[in-house]
Amino acid sequence: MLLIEAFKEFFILENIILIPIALIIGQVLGAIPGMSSIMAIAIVIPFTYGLSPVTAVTILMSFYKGGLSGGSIASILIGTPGTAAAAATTLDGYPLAKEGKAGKALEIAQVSSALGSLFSDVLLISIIGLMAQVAMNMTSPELLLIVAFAMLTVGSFSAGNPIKGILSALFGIFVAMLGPDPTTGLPRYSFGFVELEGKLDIVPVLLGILALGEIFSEVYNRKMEGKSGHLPKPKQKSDQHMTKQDFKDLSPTIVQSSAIGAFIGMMPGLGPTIGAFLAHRAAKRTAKDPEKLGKGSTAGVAAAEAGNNAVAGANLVPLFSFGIPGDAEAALVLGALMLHGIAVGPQLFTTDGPMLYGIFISLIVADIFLIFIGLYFVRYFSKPLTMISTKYLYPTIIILMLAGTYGVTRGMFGVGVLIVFGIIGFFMKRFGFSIPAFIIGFVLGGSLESWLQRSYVLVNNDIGVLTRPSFIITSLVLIGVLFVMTRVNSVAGDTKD
Amino acid sequence: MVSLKEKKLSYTLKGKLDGTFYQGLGTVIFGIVFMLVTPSQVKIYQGSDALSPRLIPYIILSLIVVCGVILMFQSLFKKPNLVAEVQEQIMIEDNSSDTTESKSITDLLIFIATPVFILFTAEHIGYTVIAIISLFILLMYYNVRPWYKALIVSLIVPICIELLYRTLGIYLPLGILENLIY
Repeated sequence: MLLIEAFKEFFILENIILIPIALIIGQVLGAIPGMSSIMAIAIVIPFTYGLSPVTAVTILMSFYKGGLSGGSIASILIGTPGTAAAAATTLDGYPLAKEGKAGKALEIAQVSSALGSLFSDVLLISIIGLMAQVAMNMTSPELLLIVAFAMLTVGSFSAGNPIKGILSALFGIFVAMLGPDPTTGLPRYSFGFVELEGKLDIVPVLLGILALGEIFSEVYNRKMEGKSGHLPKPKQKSDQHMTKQDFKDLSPTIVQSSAIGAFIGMMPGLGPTIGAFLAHRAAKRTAKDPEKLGKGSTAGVAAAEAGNNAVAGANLVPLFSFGIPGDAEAALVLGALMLHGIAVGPQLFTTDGPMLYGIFISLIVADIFLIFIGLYFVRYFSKPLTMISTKYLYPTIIILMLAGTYGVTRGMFGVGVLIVFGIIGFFMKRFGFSIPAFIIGFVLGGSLESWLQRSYVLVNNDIGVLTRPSFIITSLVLIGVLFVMTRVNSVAGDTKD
Repeated sequence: MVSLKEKKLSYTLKGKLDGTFYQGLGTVIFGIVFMLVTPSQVKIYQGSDALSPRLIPYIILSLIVVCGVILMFQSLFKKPNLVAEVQEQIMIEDNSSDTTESKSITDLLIFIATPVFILFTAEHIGYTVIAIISLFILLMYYNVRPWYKALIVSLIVPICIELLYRTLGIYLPLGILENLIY
């Protein structure tokens, strides 16, 4: 019954048309060096305001998936990763292109991306119900522990200096506290400005810190030019395409890399770049030609792409089960749902089950579209994309963002907030602070405060809650996760070096 | 004899360490200033059993101050990873000169000034009009030539946004055009 309702939510003309469009636009943006998949989904958020929640999340996730797989285009054709997550693809993709095998590398990258993403989405759907059940049985102290853990780990792992990462999360929480106090309703830190008496809108803050700050940073670093490459022509027909034999040879690598990427995706703060590098490293075990890895191996391309795309679905596991976004992309999905007045967490399974499963169906359909786009269309639009100059793009995006923010906040105050957070984002990036940690602090600041208040009352009434099995088990699991994450992060660091 | 490059490196490395120190100092000042204004900015509701509304802001601000102090200590006492920093510095040295640095700052200021300009003028002049003007100036500044190419892009983007928004029922400020249209 739930599934039928979910199909009804998803199978509307709007979704079917918008998925391939969003995937292609995501690929276009991901392919342009200087654009990032996260910037792409940040820009599109205001435009999802008038759509249904399923369509909104579908578009965002299609942008994200498209952006991640599009990042490989520039990596392969010009040796410059379109996104940070595609950096590992450059190691093998560009050497392959220089051998005249750009077409093959592109198709392998696209198919591996789509399969990695599909693996991750199937995993998400399989375990999310169980995870949500666990979350439903948790009380405020355990949830407080998990949210604090997520913030600390995202902060520590996403900034070079862990203290700066933790500081970023704290700044995010502090910004979330501006506005009315949850218990008394009295304004905090409004300094007499009426506009500051309410909570800051999520869209201008996210858009400012992520997209506008990124543009300021790129402009400052003078990355305003396009770059094109001159690659040799393919020597034989099979150099242009992924053959059945290629697929057969690469299947074990794709499955292994997808599993690694999905595991990384579920860990808060690790993200697709680490997923890609770890999968690339692990490919030595399954690749037919391990000695060629890093010098122009198809297995290297498949591993990196399956590894980074498998992060995309799995990072929704902590979001939909605990209401905790594991990274900035998941925080953006959370932001889009909040824009529609939907509180994300385990209760969604009972309150908005059809919508949630509608979103899951859309993820799978997007993966299938991605395979077809990768196999039949990418080759036609990939080359010109890498030549688009950001000197056209950035000014245009600024105009789009300002209009988008005005549209969502219906006032110039929101535009002001966007600019202020754009400047803050620029300085945070410049001085090595963690933007994902800030965002997670900002979106979870409110929940953290209410769980802290409830936990205080609970512990005050009965200190025994801290010795309950659920609290102890949660603490032990988190310690275990922290250990694994530290290990994974150091291995990924070695691989990148 | 210390070479000029080494001198430059030691100068910039010192600058980098000081940078972390000042970031820590700025953070500490931020935390203390907000702690000082908290009593006037966060009112207490008498007669409530709940936690004081000032408690959590104080906890967060205290942690910010503590982290700021740690950053300062890190800068003062932590042995820097000299090899990595020297490598990074050489890359920066190779890619930058005083001219490109000042050009970067100018570019950044222009990119910041553009949205600020739109923010303050959009309600008076109209979003689309001001966006066309700003976009054209930006594209010309970034050497988009011939000029009509910049003009076409500057006209198409804001007009498409305006039309898209009107279709979605969202109305951007019209400014002076309001009297002409209505």
